Amino acid sequence: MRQLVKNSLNLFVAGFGCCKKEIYSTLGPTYDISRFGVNFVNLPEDSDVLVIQGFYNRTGERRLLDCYRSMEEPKWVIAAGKCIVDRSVFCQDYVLTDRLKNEIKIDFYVPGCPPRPEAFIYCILRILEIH
Amino acid sequence: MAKELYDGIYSSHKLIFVEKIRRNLEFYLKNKVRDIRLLGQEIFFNTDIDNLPEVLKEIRKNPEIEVDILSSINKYISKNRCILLINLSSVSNNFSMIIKASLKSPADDTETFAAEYNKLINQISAVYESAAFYLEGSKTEDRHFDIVLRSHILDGLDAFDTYLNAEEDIITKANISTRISVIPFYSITNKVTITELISKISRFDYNAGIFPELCFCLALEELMQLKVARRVQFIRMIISELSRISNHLSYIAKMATVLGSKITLSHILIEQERALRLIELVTGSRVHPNYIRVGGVRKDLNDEILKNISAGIKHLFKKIPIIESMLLDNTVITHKLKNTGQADRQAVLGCGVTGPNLRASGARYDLRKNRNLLLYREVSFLVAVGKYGDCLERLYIRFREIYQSIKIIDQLIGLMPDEHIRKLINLSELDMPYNKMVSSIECPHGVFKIYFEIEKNVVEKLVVMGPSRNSLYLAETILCGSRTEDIELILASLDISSGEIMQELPI
Repeated sequence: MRQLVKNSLNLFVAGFGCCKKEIYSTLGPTYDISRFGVNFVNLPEDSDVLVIQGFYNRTGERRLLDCYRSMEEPKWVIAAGKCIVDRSVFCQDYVLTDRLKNEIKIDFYVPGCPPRPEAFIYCILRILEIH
Repeated sequence: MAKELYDGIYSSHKLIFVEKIRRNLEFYLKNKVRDIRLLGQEIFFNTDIDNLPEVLKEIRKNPEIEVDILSSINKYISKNRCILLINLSSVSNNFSMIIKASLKSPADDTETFAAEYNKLINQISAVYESAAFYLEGSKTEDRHFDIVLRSHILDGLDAFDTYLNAEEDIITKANISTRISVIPFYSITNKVTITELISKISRFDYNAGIFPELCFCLALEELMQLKVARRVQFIRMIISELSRISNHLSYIAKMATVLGSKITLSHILIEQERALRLIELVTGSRVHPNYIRVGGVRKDLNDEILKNISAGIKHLFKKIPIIESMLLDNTVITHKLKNTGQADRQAVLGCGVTGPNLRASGARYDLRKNRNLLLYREVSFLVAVGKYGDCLERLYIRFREIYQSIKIIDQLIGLMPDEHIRKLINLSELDMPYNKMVSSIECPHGVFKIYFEIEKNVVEKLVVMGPSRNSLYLAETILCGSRTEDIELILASLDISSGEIMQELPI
């Protein structure tokens, strides 16, 4: 199945935060991420790529893990934004990648606060290139 | 002559009026309140937690004070004590007040603390009904719900869960839980330097990031009695209005997505990108500008940038009527929007909603006009006011506000004073005594308010009171009686900004 749809990725963006605004702005005609065969979906079961961004608490972490587990293989994970790649902007002691390092394997990091839409598209192109 | 009258009478009249209210409060509540003072244009006082219900009753019922709206209840932890900030306002008399009270039980003993907090909220809700929204704990856990919308299901409405009971397709009860948005952010609200805070505060409203910065800098300028140059004020107004246009366009894009109007969505996203690029041209960033400074702005605008802004808004002025007609001349869309999520003026005021959502219901309340914000009195613009308070009116108000913003920017570019901007203050050498301050600003979602305590150049405590929490409470009210197919439309039409409903996780 992956061979058949290898140029088409379904993205699920978890969490809430400023990066989501920039990630969704790639949908518009200016950036038009859909010409690379990328769709945004709202169900983790449908998706191939999980985008982790924004702010989380324990409930949010639990929901993120549920989403990750309900995705089917093969799956990739993108960590977008400073709050996930590094420490949270709001709380220096909170590092999500450290807390979930045993449960989730992150494939790509997109730095920036928030990352520009071009940076996010570059990351998607790298996924399409590698796989 | 008219301008002199406006400047001379309006501002002084306002101060005399607020001063009169302050004296009335002192007279009626002299044993129950302490430390009563004016912070900016707001009245602030402390009270004991035992006296709080009586104080609130007096404030509500006394015709000389007449404060009838509970805007928000915020809490923060200081020295293991939970401190409540109760924000009340009176739209008819155009002033607001903040009451500070400290709970008795220690914050680390969670059970007794929650019991005391909930008991107090119940007492407050006997006076102000909308206080019930701020009850903590499991109002959603023990009950059965027919429909549960988790936060990630709805794009852009992702910081809260919606629990609904329905009979056939009519919603009978709605509960909104913001448990997901209680996150740790004590590095930004406790002991943070002014410069660091200015660079980070825009995360509290990332749809229009300039407004939190502006609100904070205006508060500090008022505290230090700094006189800011006219050119700086003009630049601030230009960038604020550009942010307002960008936010309203993203709102319209969200509505177009919900309504399934794909062609309109593409047109809006192009125009939103144009507005964002203008903001980027001025500030260097699309989302978090970090542009406003205490007593000034980071960078002056040269003629080329002004020319670009002028060309950009002219293009927007041509394009937005096309988008409006594509969306609102479509009878399928207008039939779907009309009479959906309707809320009358009293209901909206009772929830403490401000901004375009309030104006759509027929109340003319805009801080730009009502409180002499920046230099808005020097430009001519209308406050867009609706009548019916349904989804169609809310969408229509946003279009009207975009036109007014374009009009304001056009005037400001023409009137821009040619003067040299110099640095007024060096924050690293600031030695300010302990002080507290409240400031508010008209952001695209409503009245954005912050309270902070400051000593030297370190902000000891920051509390953000965003307007979107009130919109959530309004959503709870108007979802009851609506059809289940309209849930997403109603929630999208209220323009709820996720950044504003974030709350601090207790340490």
